[in-house]
Amino acid sequence: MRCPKVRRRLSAYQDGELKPGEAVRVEAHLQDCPACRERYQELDRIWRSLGELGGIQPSPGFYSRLARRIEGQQRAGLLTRLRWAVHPLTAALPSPAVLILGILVGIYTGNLVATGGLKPLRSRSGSSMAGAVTLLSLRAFDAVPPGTLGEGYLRAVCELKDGHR
Amino acid sequence: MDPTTPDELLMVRAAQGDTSAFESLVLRHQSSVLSLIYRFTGDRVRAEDLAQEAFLRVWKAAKSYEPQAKFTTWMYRLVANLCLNEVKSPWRKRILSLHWLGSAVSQPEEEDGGNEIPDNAPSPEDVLLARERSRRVAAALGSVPKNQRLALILKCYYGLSYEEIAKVLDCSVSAVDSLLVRGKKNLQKKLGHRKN
Repeated sequence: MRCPKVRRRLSAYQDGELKPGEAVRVEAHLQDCPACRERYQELDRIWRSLGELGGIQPSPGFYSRLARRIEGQQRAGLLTRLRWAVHPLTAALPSPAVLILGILVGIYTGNLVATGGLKPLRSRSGSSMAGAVTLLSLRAFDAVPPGTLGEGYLRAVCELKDGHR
Repeated sequence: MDPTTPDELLMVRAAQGDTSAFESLVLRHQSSVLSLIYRFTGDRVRAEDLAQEAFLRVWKAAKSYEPQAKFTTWMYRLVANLCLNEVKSPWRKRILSLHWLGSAVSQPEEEDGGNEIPDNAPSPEDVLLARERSRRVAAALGSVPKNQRLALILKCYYGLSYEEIAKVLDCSVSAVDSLLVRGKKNLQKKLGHRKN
């Protein structure tokens, strides 16, 4: 075995992870090669120095704190299960605050559509009917809603065609 | 609880709601779990928090636990994931690196905790020197990339085989070999025994 290969295998040799045959070959090389032997001894020193960092013991009451956390989680889990068991429908519904907010937003935007936030289209003759304001405002849901870029584009195209005629 | 009861059996009983079985399991492994996390993070307080979290997860996972692998391998995997996720956030990473650079690596407590000083007790100088060596090793270990650090800890302090480390870190045996080779090289650079 040559030095580069032995050096690559030194870590596994140290950890006892080489196959018996390979371990014997590395060992034989280490006996004959002072440079590789020195490397191995250095590796060994490093490994032993890790032993300087000891472990720690848990502080008193480690388990009782853990037991309290588990009890707390169990209680929380039980409450959730209970809520689903007693009120499966209400548990699935959104909270009342979200419902109220949704209704308010709906009223506001509906009002906006009906009272001038979006202006009604004028008829071709140029006269507008005050009573039709609300109905026309609902054209906001048309394929080409009034007051949009799409409507502007269509108007421009129509005017262009009229001009050609 | 009988101290010879296998971990796997204790887990089965814990899954059935037997809290004394779970307590035995915790008491049996709390020091090793805590020390693993402490060696990884270098922070005693954080190690206690994470160890609590680890055992909480063991309790939650008890019902779905299937004793296919050794319990300790399964548990170390859970702890390893916790440790690796712990340092994922850049903010936390910065805090940890500052901690490693600092000299505040807390010292292990005496297991017996007695107040009497035995005749062969180390002198204050010896204690200081040991503390300094421990701090140096902790700082060197803390500077090693996290996967290499975990592999080194599992090999050095827990004597896990490459195959077991591969299961814990969810990688191949050759990847473990490579992690340990690089980890040892990095340690060598930091601990400075070698001149080249």
